[in-house]
Amino acid sequence: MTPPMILEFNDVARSYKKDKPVLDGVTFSMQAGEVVALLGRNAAGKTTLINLAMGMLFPHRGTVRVFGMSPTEEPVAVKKRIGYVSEDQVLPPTSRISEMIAFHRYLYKNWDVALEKELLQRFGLSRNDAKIKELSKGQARQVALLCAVCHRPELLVLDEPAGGLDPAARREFLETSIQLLNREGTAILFSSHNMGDVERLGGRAILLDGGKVRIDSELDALRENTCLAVIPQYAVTNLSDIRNLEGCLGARGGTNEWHAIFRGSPSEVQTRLQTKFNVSAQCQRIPLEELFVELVGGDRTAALK
Amino acid sequence: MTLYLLLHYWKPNLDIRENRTLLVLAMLVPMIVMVTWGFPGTVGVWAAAGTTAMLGAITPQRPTRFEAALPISGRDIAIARLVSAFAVNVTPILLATATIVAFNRAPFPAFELAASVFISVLAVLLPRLVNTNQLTVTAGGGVTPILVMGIAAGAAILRFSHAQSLALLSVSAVAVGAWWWRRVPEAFQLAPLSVSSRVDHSSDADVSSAADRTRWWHVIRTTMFSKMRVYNCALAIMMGAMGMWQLYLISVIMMEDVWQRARWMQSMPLSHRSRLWMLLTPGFFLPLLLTIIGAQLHIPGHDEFQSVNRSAIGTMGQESRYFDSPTSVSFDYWEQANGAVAPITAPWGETVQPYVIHVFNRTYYNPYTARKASSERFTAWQFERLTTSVFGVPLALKDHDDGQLNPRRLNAQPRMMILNVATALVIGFLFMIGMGFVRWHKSWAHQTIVGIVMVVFMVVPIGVWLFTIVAYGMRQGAMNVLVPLLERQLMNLSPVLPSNNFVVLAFAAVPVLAVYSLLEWQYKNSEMVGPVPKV
Repeated sequence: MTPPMILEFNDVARSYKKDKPVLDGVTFSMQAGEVVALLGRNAAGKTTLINLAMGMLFPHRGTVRVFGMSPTEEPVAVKKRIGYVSEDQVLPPTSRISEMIAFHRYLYKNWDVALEKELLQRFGLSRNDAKIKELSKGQARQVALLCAVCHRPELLVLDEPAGGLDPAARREFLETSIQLLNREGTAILFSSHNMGDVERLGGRAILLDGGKVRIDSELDALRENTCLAVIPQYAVTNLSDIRNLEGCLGARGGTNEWHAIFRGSPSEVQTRLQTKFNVSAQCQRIPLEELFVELVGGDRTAALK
Repeated sequence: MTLYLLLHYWKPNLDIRENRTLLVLAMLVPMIVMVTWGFPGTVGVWAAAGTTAMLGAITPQRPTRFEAALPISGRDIAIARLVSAFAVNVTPILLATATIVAFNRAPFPAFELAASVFISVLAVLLPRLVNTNQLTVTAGGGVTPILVMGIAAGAAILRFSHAQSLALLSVSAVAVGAWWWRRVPEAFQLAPLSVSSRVDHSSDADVSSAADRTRWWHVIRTTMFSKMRVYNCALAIMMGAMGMWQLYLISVIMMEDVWQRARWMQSMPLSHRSRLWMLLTPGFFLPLLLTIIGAQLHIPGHDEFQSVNRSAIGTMGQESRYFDSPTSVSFDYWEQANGAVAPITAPWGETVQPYVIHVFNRTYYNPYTARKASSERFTAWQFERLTTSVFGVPLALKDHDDGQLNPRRLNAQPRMMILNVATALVIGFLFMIGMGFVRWHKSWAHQTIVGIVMVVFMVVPIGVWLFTIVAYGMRQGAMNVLVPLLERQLMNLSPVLPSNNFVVLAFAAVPVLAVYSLLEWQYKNSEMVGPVPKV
């Protein structure tokens, strides 16, 4: 039996300036229990997409459905089932941790006090009823996570949740998210620039680029079925010839060669290039971070000259 | 203040405290206005001092790493910073004084100048007393303006003379300065304020148990009520007492601060209406309530608040500047002239040429004018006519002078309060709708229209208001003309309505609810985008 859809984006567009869409025709869906990483460069639209899912922004085109409801039409019903942590979430600085917890207990009737105590213990905050402004950045983020997860949400939305945290705090944060929730079937939608985090959380990756979904794939499949081909420029003079080749996910210019990402194993891609351009290209699997850089990084404008 | 608010609104991430030029400009406007106004009684001094104190208290005072790393003593840094802060505080006063001299409309305001300088000393130094080790303002620093205002209010209530006020201020300033100088350390620290400033003994409490005992609304309270709002509340009462409802609009502009502070709640499962009311309560309804309370202030023996001469228009240029006419009255009681202004004639034939002012190309005159040269009988006759208009009953000038009779003004009574509050709510809601237009999700594609709407709602009203202050306040002594013009319309409307106040309430509720519905609809369709500011 297919798990129910909890998040659906259908042809969603959103802009902040006329004729400059941040998102343009984004379509994807997410099932219960799935972990989905949103990837993309700065200003790729990850936060916009998350804000749309939270009902904090309105789409200019298309529809967003969370648990089958519109997050802007039924915000209370939707948000009661979501936990949300974001990098730029500024909790009220003069409030104490206990006050934040009391407020969330009031808002979420299914608040799990046992989980709250466990997390306070785990974060070393159980006997430190400090004000938010007195906490370190990592501690404040832990408080935000605690507030986001103790009502055991069906969907946890994390917008760059571990940004600015040191590696240990980062790992602690993410492990908590995963261990506590995803094992129990909570879906997690998170954005991150850190490929280590993405690989640790696993699941599915959605790469946003140019306002569109460029890649939507399981991480394992992405690692297994993509490779980098380095093609000498003397053999192929026009970059668009490579881009038009079947299975090409993206290509850009290097010093004396083209770098292209293809779907398929290295041997398959090598054969394809040999057949098409009569060139012996170097093809290899690459780590996720390299894949990300090859797909959205570099001076592609210069390469297109 | 207005400039500060405008800049704060237009560029929410612009911290005016970081920009000395803007700070000086922001202070220049109120100081010129206040000093040029001529300090009627002590109120003008304290209003100017309050503004100075408030801005003085938020002047940037934390030492930079550059300063702290210099091989110079803490006292040298402190003095350098102090001179800088004084320049910010005193420069507008000097410029305002120069403006007066240039206009040549008043004697040199020596007392006002001295008082402002001494209050600047208090305003600049007091915040630093709280924790001189860091040369910064801690929570207690926010109390300073209130403290200074409290001293000022006390002096006003005790009816201190100029000499007594000056003595009090100078002694306070010298004492504060000496105390501060002794406490300045050899070196300042850069440690984060919140970590180093105090030890919180409650931090050992079990957090879960503490949460059991904590009410849910504590977070709402701490989110919505900044310490500065206490100052606004005091100001709301004072302005209400002076019949200056325009402060209410300033409170609405300051909603931007509340709006930003509540931003984190967007992800909470709270309805739009709940969140809107969380914004409206501290930023909108509370100042209104306090303004109403202020309008009701009535201290026996002190008739300033319900005085017949409250917010009266001065006689600048038409009479000796400091001639205190008992029949001076605020602009809402002035009449518009049709053509030339005829002399006012008493039943026994004595005449007087009324005071006139020109506002928006129209001539207005005070129908209750009694000049310095008028007879006592004429003045008493005019005073009776005036008090009949203001209080609904004729009062004898002698009783009023003795402080024996100072009944409540008609416009402080429930009927006029209903109309005033309804008007304030409608204007405030409309203002908020205008400001919120930029957050309407459909506005993003129509930046030009947004710009036009913002100009119409923000720049035009504030610009007109500032224009009236500068044009009519500086030249004719009529500081406050817009609100009285509106008040006058409401006073004309009141007799037309049924006599039952409940019917008036129902009548007034209709436009309020209509505009509120529009505001709520807009809020439901609004969104917060852009960088998250520090709160």
